[in-house]
Amino acid sequence: MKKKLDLKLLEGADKKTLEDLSAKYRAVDDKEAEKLFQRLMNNNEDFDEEANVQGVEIYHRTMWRKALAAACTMVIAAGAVAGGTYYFSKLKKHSGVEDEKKSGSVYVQGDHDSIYAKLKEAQDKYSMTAIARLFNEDKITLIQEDEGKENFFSYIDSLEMKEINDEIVINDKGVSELAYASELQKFPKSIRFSFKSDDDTAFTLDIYENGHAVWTEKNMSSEITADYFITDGEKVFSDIVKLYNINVDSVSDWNDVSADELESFIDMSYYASSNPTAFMFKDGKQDEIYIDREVFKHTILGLEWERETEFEYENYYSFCGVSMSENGYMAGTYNGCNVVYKLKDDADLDKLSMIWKSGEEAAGDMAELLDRIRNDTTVQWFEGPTYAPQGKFHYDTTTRYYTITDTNSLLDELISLEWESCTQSEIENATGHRDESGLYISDGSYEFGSSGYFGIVSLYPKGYMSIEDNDRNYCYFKLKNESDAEKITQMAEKYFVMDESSELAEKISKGVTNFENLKAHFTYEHIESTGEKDTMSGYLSVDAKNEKMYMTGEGINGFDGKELISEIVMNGHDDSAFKVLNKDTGEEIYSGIYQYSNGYAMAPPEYHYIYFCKDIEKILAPRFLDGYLTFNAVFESREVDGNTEITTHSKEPSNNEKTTILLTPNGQLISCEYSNDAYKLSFKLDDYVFDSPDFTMPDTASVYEKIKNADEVSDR
Amino acid sequence: MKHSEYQKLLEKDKSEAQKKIFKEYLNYVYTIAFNRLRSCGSREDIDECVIDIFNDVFSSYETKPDLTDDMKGFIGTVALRKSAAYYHRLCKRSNTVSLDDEYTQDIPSAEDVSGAAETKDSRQILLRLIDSLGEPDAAIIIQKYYYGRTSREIAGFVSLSPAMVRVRCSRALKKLRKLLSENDISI
Repeated sequence: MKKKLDLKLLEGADKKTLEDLSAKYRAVDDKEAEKLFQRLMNNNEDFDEEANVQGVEIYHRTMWRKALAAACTMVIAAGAVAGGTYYFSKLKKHSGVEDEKKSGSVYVQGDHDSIYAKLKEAQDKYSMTAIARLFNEDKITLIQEDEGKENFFSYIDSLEMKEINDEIVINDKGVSELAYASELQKFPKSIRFSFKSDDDTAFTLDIYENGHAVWTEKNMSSEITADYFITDGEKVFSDIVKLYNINVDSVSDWNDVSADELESFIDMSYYASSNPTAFMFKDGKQDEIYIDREVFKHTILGLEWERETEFEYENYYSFCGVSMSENGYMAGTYNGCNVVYKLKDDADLDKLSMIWKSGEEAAGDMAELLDRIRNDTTVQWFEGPTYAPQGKFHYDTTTRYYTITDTNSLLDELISLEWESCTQSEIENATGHRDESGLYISDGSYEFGSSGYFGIVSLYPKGYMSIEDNDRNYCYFKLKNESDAEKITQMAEKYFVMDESSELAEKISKGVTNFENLKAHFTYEHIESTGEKDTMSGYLSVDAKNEKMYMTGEGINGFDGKELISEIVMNGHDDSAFKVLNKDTGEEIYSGIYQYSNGYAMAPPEYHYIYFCKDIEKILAPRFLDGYLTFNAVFESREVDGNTEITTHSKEPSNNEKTTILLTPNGQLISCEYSNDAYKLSFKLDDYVFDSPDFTMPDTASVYEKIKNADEVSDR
Repeated sequence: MKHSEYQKLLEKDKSEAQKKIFKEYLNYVYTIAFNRLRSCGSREDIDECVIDIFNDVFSSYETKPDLTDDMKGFIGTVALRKSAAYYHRLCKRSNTVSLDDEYTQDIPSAEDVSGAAETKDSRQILLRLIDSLGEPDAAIIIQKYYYGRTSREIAGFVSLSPAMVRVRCSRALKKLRKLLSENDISI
């Protein structure tokens, strides 16, 4: 997955930046501005779109309020249309109660606010033409100079036009959508009836082939539009064609689909799509597959297509907003219209299927796909939860780094195995699982290269591989022979050597739980380059097997010199609580409950022993390959009184960071000193005793509950 | 508009005077409120804050006719303070003190001064890079990735169809990522 851009950096900006931002970019549009102003004026009451604001015309977004002046009688224009039948239903008006409440008036049939009523009343003033259009562009004039104008009004009077509002509803899938989402679609073909007069007022009626109709009233200073839907619109469209004896063959491209249109449709869909992933929808299930973009484009352009109006969304493929069915239909959006195409010749169906079979071909191109990582010499092992909020590192995620001794040989061996294409969900199901909260836990993969959260290539010891191509599409593969999976483990042992920093990370990680108990005195100092110094010292108890920890101490707050008391508890796996008080007054400075991966909660003091160890582990083996490759550290280790002292510093001369860690032979942290240009930090255990038979653990559960309850009270 | 001009208009037509102020400074006020509350408030919170800011401004100008002639400066200050107050209300677990609060002027800063200066420089560079994309791409990037608007909403701002907004956004984003990488800015 690509990391989504977020311009968070601009938050909390200084006044100058804010002035620049507001001068260059609009923060609200006119509609929002108007709403805000009305709320301000009405003292926070909801803005009524229908309210007249000082005589200003009600603009097109108020369509849901407008009454329809079109006839609601059920008259078929006798003789105008052959065999047409129409749905009859009373026109829905906005409820009178709301009308009275908000605008003080009730719209009734024949109300001259409606566009059609205005036109009809003054029809003699206007001359009418009709134009055939494609994708909202004029193609050919069908009727000129009032020809058939009388028929127009009697025909329109006979139609049932249902007003379309823009309210949002929840559909049967539980998703919000516009109430008339399908009616609001525009199809490529339309007929525009245009009415012009000498006084620069004009009206147009655009009727699309699906029955969507748009009235527009224009004058010198304003334009009002209103959307309607004609039931049985396809029939109406066809009736109008007959009514005016329109020769559809004379309208170029109404039926033929040009090569230019197809190419533009494909390119625009691809570039407009924010997600170039391909999906297969079969038997009610959705799966991610690989579709080669070049194969997709060339196949479609190499076939002949004609226009259609309906696409069946069952058992189809989707790629960059284009849907394709195995029976030769294709649908998408082009130039603001919903388009459907169909293969002219069913004999071409086999050729069309090359598109969704292109994933199978990719297996043959594996060598080419893997070329992107041929020069890589580092690979990451990633295991555990794949997500943590706010981009933080999850407590249970493990990353380790290896040097690849011979990348070319490794890739050649991989390519020599037999692979076949598969789907993303096959890989996910086989190489991990979701916990009760829906968090995906990976069993582990080797990640090569860097592409956002994961690698360009992910290699799973269970015999799967995903590879990102140059267009950021993913190809998914699995071994044809399951027994070949053990060869992947053998290749890893042969070609991957764990880096020193990851070995240290591994040691520290294991050191958190591979003992029984610990009792120690601890000392902590954090000294800023300004001289400001935070201190804390006290006692630490750890019950490692049950993942419990208790710390209590006294110290000084360098910021204001006040004496502090702190209490930190971990009551099980990654479940912590803490509080820091003013020693003199007992006043709480801050407190909370916390889990390592929580991006929102207030963090405990940085001398939380277990999290401190985790932090060191994550620094040594960071989440992202990019971060690791810039780490660039030198390691030196030596024995000190039976313990291991490791010193690291950066290879970069300008980087003055230095870390010294002292570990027991089993990996428990005894001390850590870290310094950079801004501050120096030290943490040390002394008088420590491991695995004492007399060890007793404070009641972490009750301390945790006390802090948690106090925290919940303060939240109310 | 100067305060003295506003006072004259206020005497003649209060509603018109307030509307003028609102139109002139809404973008500035909204930018300030959004900038502060983006990470912790909803759209509704931000709208409420903006309305509160203008209520405060109108009421201040009615009750304190001797305020400075620099309306923008005054309105900006009201906006910053009100936004800070909303921020604290919405993020009540914070143990930090707002440096915008008038009572905190004398508290020595605990923040990393060099870090703050570096962030300010990065912001300026980021804005410069976005500006360099030209219009309407710069506006699209800001509306999408800062103001969090959909393509349909952005279409209204830049007078393009939603589909064209997506096309331009995708291209502008590629360009911007490259520029950011060249300038060593990570976001």
